[in-house]
Amino acid sequence: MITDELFLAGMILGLFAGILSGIPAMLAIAGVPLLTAVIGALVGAFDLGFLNFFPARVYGAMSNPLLMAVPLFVLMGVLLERSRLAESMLEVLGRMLGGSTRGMALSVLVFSAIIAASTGIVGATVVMLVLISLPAMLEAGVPKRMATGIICASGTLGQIIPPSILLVLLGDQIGNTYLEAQQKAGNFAPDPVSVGDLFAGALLPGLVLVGLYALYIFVGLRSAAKASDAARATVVVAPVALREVLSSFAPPLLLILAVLGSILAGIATTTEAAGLGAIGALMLAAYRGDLPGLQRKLVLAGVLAAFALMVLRLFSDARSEGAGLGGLAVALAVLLVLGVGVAAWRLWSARLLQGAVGDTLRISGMVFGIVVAASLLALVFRGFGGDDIVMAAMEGLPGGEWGALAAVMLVVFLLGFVLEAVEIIYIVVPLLGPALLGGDISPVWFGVLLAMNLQTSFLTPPFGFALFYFRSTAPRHITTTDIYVGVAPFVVLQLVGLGLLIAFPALATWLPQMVFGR
Amino acid sequence: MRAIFLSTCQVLDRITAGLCAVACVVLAGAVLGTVILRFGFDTGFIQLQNLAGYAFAILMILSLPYCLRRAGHVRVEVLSERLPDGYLRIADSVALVVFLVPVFGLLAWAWMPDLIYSWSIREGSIETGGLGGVFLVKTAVPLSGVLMILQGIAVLLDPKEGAA
Repeated sequence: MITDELFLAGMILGLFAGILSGIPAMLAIAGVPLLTAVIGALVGAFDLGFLNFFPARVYGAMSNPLLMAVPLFVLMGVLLERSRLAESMLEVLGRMLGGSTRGMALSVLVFSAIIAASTGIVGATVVMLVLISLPAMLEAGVPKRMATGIICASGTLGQIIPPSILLVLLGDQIGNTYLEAQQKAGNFAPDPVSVGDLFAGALLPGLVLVGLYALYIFVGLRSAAKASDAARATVVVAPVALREVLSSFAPPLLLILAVLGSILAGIATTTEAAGLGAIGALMLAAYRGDLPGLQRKLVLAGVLAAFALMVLRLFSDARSEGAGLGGLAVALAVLLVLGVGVAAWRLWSARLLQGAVGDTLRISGMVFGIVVAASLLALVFRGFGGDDIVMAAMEGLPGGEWGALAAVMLVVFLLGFVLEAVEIIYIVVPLLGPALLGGDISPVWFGVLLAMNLQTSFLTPPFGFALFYFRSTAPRHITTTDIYVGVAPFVVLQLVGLGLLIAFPALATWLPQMVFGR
Repeated sequence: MRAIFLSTCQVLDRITAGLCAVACVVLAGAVLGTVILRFGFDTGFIQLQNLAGYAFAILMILSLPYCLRRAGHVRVEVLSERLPDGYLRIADSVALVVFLVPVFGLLAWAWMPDLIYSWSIREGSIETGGLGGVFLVKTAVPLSGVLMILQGIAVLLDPKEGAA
């Protein structure tokens, strides 16, 4: 037994050394356990037969319908990013506010939350926000430390505000682990946890965070608002037509609402909603390009047809199978396919689609590299009896379930400094999760807590990922100290958010219960 | 020798990229088809859902070598960015021999018995009335393993290619 523990400790240390060595993390995550297993087999502490299951586990991930949503959500995010929608949203905002400091900071927050929710990738969001909203905020007189904090914090919001890729992956892992742990604990019919549950569960906590940020900005900028009268005078307030506001803000909001709504209303699975999101983003990106009149109308008709189909589905229980409705459905389907076809063709000839697909494949490869590697890690970990060791260690912790929960949260927070979310989810949940999820802790609440904790970790100096991305794109006159000081209040707000979520688990569990009735 | 190897890997990468791109488009299309059928007509085809599943499986496993070739796999550079220039190349060489070749060799090798069986019965979808050809999808697993090893070597031999 004691040799097992030695090997496991060696493997974890080797894992850290490997990851920190700067080689692709997936190689370290898969390679170190394999090496440990081979050495273990040489001294008779490991049965190499375990390793034969590795390809079958990889194939299991390949045939997992939940993971299908990942490339589709990535495609949606990449298309939105490439459609330059964010730039036009901010441009309209800037003119609407005409230099009001507080208004500018608050609207950057709202706009960032929308962008973050729709793209969902921390690095891409932070870089984009730095490029387009940092200059605008500084010009409006927002102090640079505050502006830094707003961008870094709201860039990480995409992790928790659904639809988020992180929540899809968490749903996959927690769903499996919860089922296994409950069955091991003797509950043979636990309510399964779906990605929809996590989406619903994360919505309110995510909005609470936005609210906390807004409150802080509102209070924190009171003095700055008076000081910037001089700055305000230099900015010309131009009238903005309502049409412009609608055309820049309505599409992304509608897209998010449609994706989220169709999952929460139970009319679409996560994958179907992700597919709708990708198709919607495709039409949106094409519509915003310069299209000749007829094609523009066709794309618009496609979008409307998609919404009409959703409405049709929503009332399909009550509808009679009359020929009229069947004909309507055919017409809508034809319009939708036509709209998608025109949009895809336009984006193809503008060479935008090729780039977007390339990006999607690269980002998917990154995510799935970790998924594949982590399956080997988990296999070796179990081969050494690691799950029993963790279970015993967790039971030995003071404070019972809460002590174990605190330990897991601390581990996740610290791991967030060196690893990306996908890696942490696929390492921590299967290895440490079973000890927790066998009890009465709500898996949805646990998942949302984990997501918010990770998001906090990405924001915490000196190692937070968001800060690195910010540093790499921000101008030099914003020093690293500025970044750390600027982000600090937001880290405190995150901790307040975490505290609220721990004190009131209903924040995460109420909405899923309302929507899905369990 | 080196030139032949590198140009072979380049061709292989083009094929990988093409397969991945087709899989991505088929996935989006098949999901769209499923949604239209379910929303508009309250029906569905098992075959269409199988097609989406196959496309995803191919996309997922082949996106690994695609990503490797483009230096897309996440690295944690907190320490390595402070080390001298030659360091990363040495680290990558070691990782290739000690980690990449064994892991993906294992992926390809240990899958062979399953794959041979799958071919021998021309395995199709589990669902009744589903699409055939699961044995072809399963073949992508060792294919990806071999491609990972080849592209890993190619990127190391010619770092410029990896960045492109």
